[in-house]
Amino acid sequence: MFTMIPTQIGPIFSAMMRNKGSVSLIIIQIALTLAIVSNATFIISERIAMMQRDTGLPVEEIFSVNSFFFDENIDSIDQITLDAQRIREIPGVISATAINQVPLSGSGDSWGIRDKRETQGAKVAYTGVYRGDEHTLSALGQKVSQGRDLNTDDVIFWRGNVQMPKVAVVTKALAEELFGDKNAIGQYVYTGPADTAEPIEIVGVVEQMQGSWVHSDIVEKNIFLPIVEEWNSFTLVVRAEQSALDSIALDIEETLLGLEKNRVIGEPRTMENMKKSSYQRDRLMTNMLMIIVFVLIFITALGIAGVSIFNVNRRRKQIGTRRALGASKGNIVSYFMTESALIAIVGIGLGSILTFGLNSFLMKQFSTSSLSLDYVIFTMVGIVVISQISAFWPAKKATHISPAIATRSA
Amino acid sequence: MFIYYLQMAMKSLLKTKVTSALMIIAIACGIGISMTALTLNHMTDNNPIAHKNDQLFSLQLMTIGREDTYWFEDGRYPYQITYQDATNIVRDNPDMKLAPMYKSGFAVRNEAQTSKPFLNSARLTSRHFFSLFDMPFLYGSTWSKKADKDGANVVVISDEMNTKIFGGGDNTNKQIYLDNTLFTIVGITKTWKPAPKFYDVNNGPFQKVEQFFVPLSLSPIMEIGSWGNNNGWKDESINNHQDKLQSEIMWLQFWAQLDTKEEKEAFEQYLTGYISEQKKLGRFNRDDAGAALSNVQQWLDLNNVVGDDSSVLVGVSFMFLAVCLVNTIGLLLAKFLRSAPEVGVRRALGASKGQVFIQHLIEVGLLGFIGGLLGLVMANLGLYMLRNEFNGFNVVATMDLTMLFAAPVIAILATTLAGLYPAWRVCTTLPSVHLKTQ
Repeated sequence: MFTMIPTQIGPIFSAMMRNKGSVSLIIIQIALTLAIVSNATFIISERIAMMQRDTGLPVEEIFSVNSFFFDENIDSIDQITLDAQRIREIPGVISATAINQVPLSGSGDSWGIRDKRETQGAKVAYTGVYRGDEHTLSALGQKVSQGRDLNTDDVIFWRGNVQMPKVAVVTKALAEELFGDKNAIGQYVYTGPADTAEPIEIVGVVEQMQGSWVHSDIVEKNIFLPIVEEWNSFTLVVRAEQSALDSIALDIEETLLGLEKNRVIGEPRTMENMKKSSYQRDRLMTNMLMIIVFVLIFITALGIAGVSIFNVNRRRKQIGTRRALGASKGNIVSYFMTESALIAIVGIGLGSILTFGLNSFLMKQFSTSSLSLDYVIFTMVGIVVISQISAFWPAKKATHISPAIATRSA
Repeated sequence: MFIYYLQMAMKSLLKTKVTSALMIIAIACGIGISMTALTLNHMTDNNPIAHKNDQLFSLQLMTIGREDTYWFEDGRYPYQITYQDATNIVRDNPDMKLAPMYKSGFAVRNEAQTSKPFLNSARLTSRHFFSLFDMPFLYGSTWSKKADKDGANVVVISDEMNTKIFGGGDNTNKQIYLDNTLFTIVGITKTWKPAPKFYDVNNGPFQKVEQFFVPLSLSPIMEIGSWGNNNGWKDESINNHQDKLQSEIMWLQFWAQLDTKEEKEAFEQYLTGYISEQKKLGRFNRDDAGAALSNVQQWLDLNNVVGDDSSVLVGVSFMFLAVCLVNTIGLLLAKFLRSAPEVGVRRALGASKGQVFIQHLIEVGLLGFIGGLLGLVMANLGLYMLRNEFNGFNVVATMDLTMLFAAPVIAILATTLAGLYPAWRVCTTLPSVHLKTQ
């Protein structure tokens, strides 16, 4: 059967030429499908990879709740220390503390942290800054992989006077940016105006933790400063066993108002929800593109099948005559399958120009990345396979055309 | 004659149920997906104050005093300005309609302190805010010039808050607690929730809109912090609110109403003069220091409110629609050519090429109409699922009238375009070919 394919190509080609209209349509359809599916699947996989990055956080164990004091008579630092203590005693709670920002939430503080006291010639890293007491790391589910955690003696209280602590813990990404391969423990970092900046010693390194802004370059660079501030608005971050989390969050407003009623308690938010919100636009893109790819493949497959059926019906006489002249059922099938494969190959050839054209347009206009060849090749193979499958059933049907047709007039 | 064609079209579609169904589904899928993406794009690309687009301008100042650009792309000005620049400009131009502003929030309680306090965002701004953005007052009015200059515990609230706190009615001169301070209500405005919140896009274009407005002049007096973004480039020591007010931290938005070209040019001249004066004080320490005024649409574009993802989705969706249409052309071609014998008979009986062409186009148009309606249903289903699955999509994932009409119109136009080639092919076939006995 395969030896017959080269000799079949001639007649197949001339048959296609007589049918330029519908053949061109399928070629265009295949070309567009290749361009769309290659680029779309590439974007989808990039977005999924982004969403699946390790956060470095026990996302299902953490929630946060805002506490807002409007009564100036309340000492906010005393109150939140009491709040956190009381919450840590609740069964199911692993740790809790007041903090200035929550990872994955989309909002927070970032500062420039540098490796020298002078700003001239210093290496500056823009960094997410986490300020809280000695429970900060445990409340965020972090352990140091080098050095030590912060302790009670390190903590500085900001009641009117703002002064940097003597020690800090950093994430590995920040350490590498400022100090390269050198051991970060014992190095010093600085922030603020050069004339008043005091050295802050790095005492611990956290292997990996994502910060607030998941789409930003600085997401892995974070520093933990043992500072407790006197603001009127606090975020309490609570880490609890996954099974107990929901009920603890539900009761938290009551618990906190019970300790001090002259304040407003916001809606508790779980870190899981924050993560979902942060990646919302990527999920939207991924979902819509997946639907488009799926429906597109389906429609193209149907299109190819439809045109194949049409072709078979148009050439009943030709097929019947060939069978009468001795062609086997297998020959007929291979004829149509070869024709379909040829069309697919031409479509793919044309489509590859379109594919890279589309990709370079996307890159220029929307700064997407350069399409990786794997996706194009995989899609090409997929298209050939699908077009063969779609052409198979009409080809099979063609074999049932009786050779007796040849003897009928006209 | 049109009705006749329509009846023939209907009969023809029903004759080939499977093919017609396939075509309708293909068109519906294409329209469904394109309209979903287009609606998201169209609703996001909204200018809530288009009628005043060329009179309202957002001010940006390049105050960053060293040659690096902090974390902005080259050439791009920061989105916010400093408190000192905002207040200086207002003080120098007392007769202009200017609205410097920032977002904050308070715990709100009724005067008797019997209600459960609730947190709500608020905007600190000038008395001109409401006339700038065409917010009509249901009761009362904006605060006085004196309140703007010296500060006063006055507040303007939206009707929604009016209903929430008092149950509605004229409550001007009544008092409420914002945090621990009693404020007098001087005005109640019709509730306005512009989407996007163009005047302050910093925390996201579709954030909740503030319903309480107090004078900016209260900021130094009550030391009201910002709930928005604060961007600093200079290594300064900021220990308290007063330090922040005098610093180079950029945390305010600034809008001006400039009704004529002359007014705009005059203001631009003033700004150039202001910057040279400030340079003498050591500020604006760079060669390309300057000011920029953008109208509302320019401001929305600058802030990339629509977003790249949205545009990519629209593009890919319409390419998908194109494939659906190419598919349809193929199916139409197959279908029309199969019915060529019947066309041959009609032509032999006197139908002109034009009439055959029109008849087939009407059939194609009918196909597009049905496909478009089905596509509209699919798009609305898609948007419904988006609203449920994602936060904050309620406004953006809902079709307005334009979109509702666009769906069938695009469907009919696109399908008719697709049908041109098949209709032309069938009307040019020679009748005689098909009249021979087969």
